[in-house]
Amino acid sequence: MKKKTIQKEYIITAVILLAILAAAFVLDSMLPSYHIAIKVIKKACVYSLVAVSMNLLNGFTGLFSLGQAGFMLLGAYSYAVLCIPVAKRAGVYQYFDGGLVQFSIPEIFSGILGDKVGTTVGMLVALLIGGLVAALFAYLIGLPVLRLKSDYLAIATLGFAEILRAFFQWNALGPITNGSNLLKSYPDLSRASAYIILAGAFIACIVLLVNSTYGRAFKAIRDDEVAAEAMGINLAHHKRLAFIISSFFAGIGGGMLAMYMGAVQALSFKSTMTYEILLIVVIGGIGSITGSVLTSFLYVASLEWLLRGLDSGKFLGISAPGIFKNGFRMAVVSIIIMIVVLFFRKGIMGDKELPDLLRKHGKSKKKEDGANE
Amino acid sequence: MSKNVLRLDNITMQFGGVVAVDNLSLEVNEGEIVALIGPNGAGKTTAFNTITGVYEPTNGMVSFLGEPIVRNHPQGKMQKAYKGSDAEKYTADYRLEGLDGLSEEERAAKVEEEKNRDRFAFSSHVLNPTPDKITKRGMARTFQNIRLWKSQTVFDNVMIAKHMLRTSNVFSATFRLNAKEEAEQRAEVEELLKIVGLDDVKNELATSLPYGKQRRLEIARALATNPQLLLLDEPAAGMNPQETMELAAFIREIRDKFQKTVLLIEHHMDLVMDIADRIYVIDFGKLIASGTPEEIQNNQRVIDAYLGVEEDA
Amino acid sequence: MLPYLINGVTAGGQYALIAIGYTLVYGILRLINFAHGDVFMVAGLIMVYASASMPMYLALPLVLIATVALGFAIERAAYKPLRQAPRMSLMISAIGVSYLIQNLAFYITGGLPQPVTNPIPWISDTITLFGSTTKRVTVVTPFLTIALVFVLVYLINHTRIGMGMRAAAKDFETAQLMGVKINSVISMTFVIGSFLAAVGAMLYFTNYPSVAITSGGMPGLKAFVAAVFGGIGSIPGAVVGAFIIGICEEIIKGLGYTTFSDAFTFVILIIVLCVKPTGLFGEKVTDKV
Repeated sequence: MKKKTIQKEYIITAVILLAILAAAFVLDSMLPSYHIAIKVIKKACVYSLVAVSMNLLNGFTGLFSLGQAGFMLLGAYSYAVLCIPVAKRAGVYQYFDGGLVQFSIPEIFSGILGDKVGTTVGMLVALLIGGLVAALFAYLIGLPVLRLKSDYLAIATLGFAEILRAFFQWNALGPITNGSNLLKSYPDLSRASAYIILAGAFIACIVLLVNSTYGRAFKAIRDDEVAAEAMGINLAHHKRLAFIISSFFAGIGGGMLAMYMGAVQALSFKSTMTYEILLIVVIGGIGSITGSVLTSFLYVASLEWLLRGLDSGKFLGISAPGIFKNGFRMAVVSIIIMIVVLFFRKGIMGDKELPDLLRKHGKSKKKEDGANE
Repeated sequence: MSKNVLRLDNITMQFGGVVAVDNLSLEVNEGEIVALIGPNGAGKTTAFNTITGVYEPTNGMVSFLGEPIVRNHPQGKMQKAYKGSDAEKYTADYRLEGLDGLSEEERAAKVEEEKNRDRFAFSSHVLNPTPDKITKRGMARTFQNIRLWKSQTVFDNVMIAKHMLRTSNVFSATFRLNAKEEAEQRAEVEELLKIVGLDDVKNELATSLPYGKQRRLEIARALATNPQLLLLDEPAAGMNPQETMELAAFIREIRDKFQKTVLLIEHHMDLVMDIADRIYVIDFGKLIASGTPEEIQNNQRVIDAYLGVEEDA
Repeated sequence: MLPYLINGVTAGGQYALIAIGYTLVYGILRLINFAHGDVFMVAGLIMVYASASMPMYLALPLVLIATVALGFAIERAAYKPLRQAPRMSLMISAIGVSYLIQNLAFYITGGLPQPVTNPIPWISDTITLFGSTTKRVTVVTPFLTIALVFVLVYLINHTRIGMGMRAAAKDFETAQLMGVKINSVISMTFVIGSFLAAVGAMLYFTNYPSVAITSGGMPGLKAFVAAVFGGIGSIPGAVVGAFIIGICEEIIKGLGYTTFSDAFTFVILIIVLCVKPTGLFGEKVTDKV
């Protein structure tokens, strides 16, 4: 009896997710790829993945790291550098003699697998390489930094992100990174559904991890480090693991962000970006993957779409160009964020997930049944 | 002749100027229930923390199943600097402190005692593994101030303790290639919870349990790591007489049914006298008595330590 | 090299004034006040607006009062409600405040850097020093900083509220039990920190053509690094750390590695955190199991 109800919740969850995917397919076929709805979905997918990766570390393992922008930078640059078509490299790297890298992974794969499939496979491979590069850096950075406690860890990871940003703007690395100039002209996935599938698959990996024996160990470290160590959990090993995995997915998220933006520049991966993601995680609920995803979509949709009017003079039919001018939208959003941070500290979801919500519903129903008997 | 499970040799733990544990030696043999008792602040929990690797002792050695697991000496880390003949010179200096004004015999006795303490100085390496390594060797503990994982259910609290017995890696665990192991561990945890009588609350949050059950859960969690030796830090603290009686029966059951050896710290004298095979008493970090419950009950030093002696009596 | 050294000392003086705000707050609340750099930026903005619309003898006090009011308000609104909350919530709140201030500043300024059209007279005069031209503020800053630090140290060591601050920094809960009015002590900490940040902003932006909404971020982070370097919680430590970082940074610029002048600060931070987390003058904090 009990088993049946548990399965039911997961089935409903799966149905909801499939419905979202189907809706994305419908939107893709109805709307042009430059439509705002498509753009919102794409960006929200990227933010969801990065927010969930941050939640894995800050929410599930209790390691307060602020290096997300740095790992995204690594993923974004890896993707861009590896994917720019050879023919366009001379133009992109105009100050560096066409750059040092003279191959393009999507082109290599399209030579083997045909144009359409090969390009897509090549792009995926480049994304994964971006993730691996970020993971490698996380390993190296983690060696000294993960021994630090709470806020020192935060400030040290923030520092590492800033150091990376400076390095990528260094002219001596220009033949690879194009110095402080834009990297562009690399291929993109035009469909919103493609973003949903990609981000969904990676988030699914994180969900599986969180619910595995390792995920339970991470939560034990978060709840009580001393007890976790006394029960045979190697703290250093597990913290490093969480840090590397989180950075891997942040790197992939960075690659997807590069795809979405169409051009990358180290300058834009500031600590403000990390703060933005952190606040999304907090509002969604620290320790809730559903919350992170939901908030990413809410946040991106409000900023890019629903609240646009706040910046352009007319909102909800009220026309007040004096107040509704450039920047008002962000001001309103950040006030809402502060209200949540101060008064609703559990965020939208607390530490609950979608199936938990469905289960709660089922439970109260069952109680009613019991009362009737 | 039963096997020696745990052995402490000359363990000293110093925090700055405070000597929390002073030259403590003790033994626990297989199948025994041994109690470590003493007044508040006598250094019992510090001794536990030293055994389980939370603290690095200032001096001494802990052996488990005949193998050294923790070992240190004040100058242990300097052994390279004091090799060979230099070592002798150094220890000689060390022993000559504070010997003024003693008779020849007292001086010899003191030097002998110091030599005994110094056994680990130059003969061997410093050992100071993290607590998880010690737990993996087969020794699990509970905490005086309950340290359950607050956001986890009763079941998951025990399940997490099984994590250290896994053979899966992070990849195989994520993609459920370890489903068989996971299922086995789940079955074991179910079984364990049934035995300790917590299976009816297994889906509750650990912190929502009443106090006595939380303590029981902590013991169950320690048992889940399949230890040979169970270290219980004041398992009866805050329990009512009824719960204490149940606990006594439970600890006996752990020894008899699960074949575990138990070392416990306890304040509750009735419980200790009831279940302990042997008792060690410490006061101000020093061992003042050891023996069977009857011997301890009639030991004048123990009575003094517990009842307090007048300053000049 | 000499001009760089002089610039370095000046930068160090400015960082020191901000760093004290970080170190005082961290000493008592164990909070990295991420919003402090933004308070500094707002002080710069107020200076630009005030000096353009009123005489200087009114504008300067207004900058000080408004900045102090802002610092006080931030503490009351965003940190006081979280006194019993875990430290992470406090830090998240600080990040949220920083985000809010930047976005509000963006709204008010329209996102454009505000030019310093009416710099403070006398200190913005151009002078010649060892054969190179610079502004008088370059010379004034280090001396003013040192003077202010002496006043502050005197206040902390010889007044009632200063004693309260020292007590709260040593042991927050015991100080509270012993009757230290913890809320007024914390408010005072923010008042002092904001006041010094306002002075720092006046000096800093005299040397710069404009104030942008992101102007606070980097000096803020660097000042924080200086505080960590010197040993967080220690005022002399923050000052020494700030001067060292200011000088190193200008020397690196002088050597032609301007891209790395910011990154270098963080390299110092990570080395300090890994080698000696208590910094140069910090007291050792032991964790209890």
